[in-house]
Amino acid sequence: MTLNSIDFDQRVDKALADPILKQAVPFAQDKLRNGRNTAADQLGNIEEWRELAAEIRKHTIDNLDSYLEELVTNVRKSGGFVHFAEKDSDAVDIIKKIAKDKEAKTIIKSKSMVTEEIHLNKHLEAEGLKVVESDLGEYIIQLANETPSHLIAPAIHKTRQQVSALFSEVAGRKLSDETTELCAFARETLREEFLQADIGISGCNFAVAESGSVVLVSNEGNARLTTTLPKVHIAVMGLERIVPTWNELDIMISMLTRSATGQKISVYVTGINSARQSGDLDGPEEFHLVILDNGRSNILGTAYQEALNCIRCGACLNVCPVYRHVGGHAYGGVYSGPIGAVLMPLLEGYDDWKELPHASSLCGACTEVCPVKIPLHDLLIEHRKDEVDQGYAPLPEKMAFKGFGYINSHPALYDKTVKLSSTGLGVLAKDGYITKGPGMLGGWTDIRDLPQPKKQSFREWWAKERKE
Amino acid sequence: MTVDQLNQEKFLTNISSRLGRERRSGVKPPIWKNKPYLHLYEGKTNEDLIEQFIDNLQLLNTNVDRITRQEFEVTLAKVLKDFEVNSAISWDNPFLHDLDLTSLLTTNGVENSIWNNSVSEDELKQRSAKVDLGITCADLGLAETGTVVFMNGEGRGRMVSLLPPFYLCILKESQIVPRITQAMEHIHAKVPTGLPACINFITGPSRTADIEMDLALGVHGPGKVHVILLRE
Ligand code: SF4
Repeated sequence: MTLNSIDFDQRVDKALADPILKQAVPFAQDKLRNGRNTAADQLGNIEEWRELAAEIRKHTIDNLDSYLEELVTNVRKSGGFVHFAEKDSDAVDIIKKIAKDKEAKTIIKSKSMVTEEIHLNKHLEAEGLKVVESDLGEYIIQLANETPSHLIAPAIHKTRQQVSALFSEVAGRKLSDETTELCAFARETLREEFLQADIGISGCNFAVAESGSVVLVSNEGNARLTTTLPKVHIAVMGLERIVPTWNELDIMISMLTRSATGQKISVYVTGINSARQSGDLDGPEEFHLVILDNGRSNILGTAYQEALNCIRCGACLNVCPVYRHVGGHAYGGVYSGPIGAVLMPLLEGYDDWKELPHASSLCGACTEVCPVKIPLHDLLIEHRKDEVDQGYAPLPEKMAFKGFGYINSHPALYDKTVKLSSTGLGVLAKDGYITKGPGMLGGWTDIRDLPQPKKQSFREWWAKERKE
Repeated sequence: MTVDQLNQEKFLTNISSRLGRERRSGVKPPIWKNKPYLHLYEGKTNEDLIEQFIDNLQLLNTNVDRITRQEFEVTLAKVLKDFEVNSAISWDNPFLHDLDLTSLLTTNGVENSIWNNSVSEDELKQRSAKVDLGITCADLGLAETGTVVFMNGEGRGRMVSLLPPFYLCILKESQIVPRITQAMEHIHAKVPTGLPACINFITGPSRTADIEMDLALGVHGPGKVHVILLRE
């Protein structure tokens, strides 16, 4: 994807002019964030959990080669096929080849950000394959020919009227815009697809090294259908998506679902340990695991390594004041929000993604909420420094600093987006200023000298920033 | 070396060199000192855990009948009636057989099948997709979340708890443990002897909020779930 700053500006403008986003994004954000905060409060010791989760992630990534080796050895031991993909195109080729070998015609998918990342559907469709997304949100955006706008809730930018119009077209009759009717229609339509699909493709929330398992977390049950009905199951995982044993998985699942939606656990947690075994009368006959690098290994050993700890819970999106205003699509990449702003430049370079590290107010709410303690706002500052070092224009530097001024000069908004998300533990001092984080302090001396802007809307602020 | 092995070596060696060190192999995780979950169940009695299990499921639109073995017949009849069940499929499992499940289903006018190779695989799939109700037992119940956990395998089809619109799970009080931690320990302990193809954790009915964050049940999996908990 080629993008430039004009594209970025245009995307933000488009988002700001969209009345649906203006309502839908804050609504979803509040709901998910409140859920997360309640779940965190119920634990009573969320900091200890985050500490342990971060420790586990660090240990795993520090020993990634060993755990990946253990994982693939165990997958093969139980009869599965392992494929290593260095680049996105390698993963696509591997999957295309499996589809060809199996003479597949239809493929059913359960939600997977990593297959979004490699634009898998487009490539498979170009081969004449029918690809159907089965997660309700993903199905909606597939029909709309769009991309996900949130890690957890991919279609939050669509209204029920829009969904009804999309489904009515498939149905060939007018459906109401009642949630129950729309869901019943999706159940019926997708069930047919499931029953005749040749291959099921899933992502992988966590792979368990000790047993060669792929663990999927879902609320709808589509991940179970995807990994149960078709004769072939292909799981695609980013190389970092791994835990040593089931014991570590305990902590990661406990944190993932609470941070994502506030659920103590998702409706379904499914461990796939192999293709069907003797005596089984259902389940796929063949299991393939595709392990994707696609730029991830470049992050190892750098100042950004902690970004690989991400478990894709979406909590950082749900507290981000910038995400709140522009939604996911304005970021332009598969991953949006604070983690997207950190990851996209790492995976695909500054040429296309240099603006993203500036699409942040550096308020630190993301860092505070992240279940695996990724210092997101520090990493954004790191990017800004690296951009300057590598000769990218310093202009956006100013933009973002004032962006913080904007938020900070609007106590109501600030309260809403930041304080509510706060678990009251650390990042925010009582005057509302951020005091934690070594990266922050460096950035802050500059920020504090800037005059605070007068009351203005985000749109006005944006227009002004662009001119300067 | 095969192409696959070469690929793997290249892939893993790249990782270790990025990490700035030699390749590692056979690393085991440390014993984590921090156990943040302990306070969630320390001091809780079995009775507390059972109540917690029931309460959690109730919050998820799932009722639990806590009954004795003698009450099973009446309870099952009531559940079948309440949920207007005309057809069912159940696991081929000694625990369910001991409850006389299939003959009770038949007595209640429910057309029923068992998950075994007395019929073809395709027929099992068609039946699972058509019937009103799927019935399984479970290996564990998790109090903190209201979750049932089971291993799939011979006689324990995955589709039974997945395809029908209504799912009934029957388990014993003694199977309830505090939380996911114990389930993970249980699975971890089974790794050396091999895990079944699939392990499921199920917590209430299938749900989605993908349309305007509006909660809807049963979008793919069962929209109604009921649990029978047998006293001992
Ligand atoms: S960066 Fe942290 S908060 Fe954001 S999605 Fe990843 S794990 Fe969740």
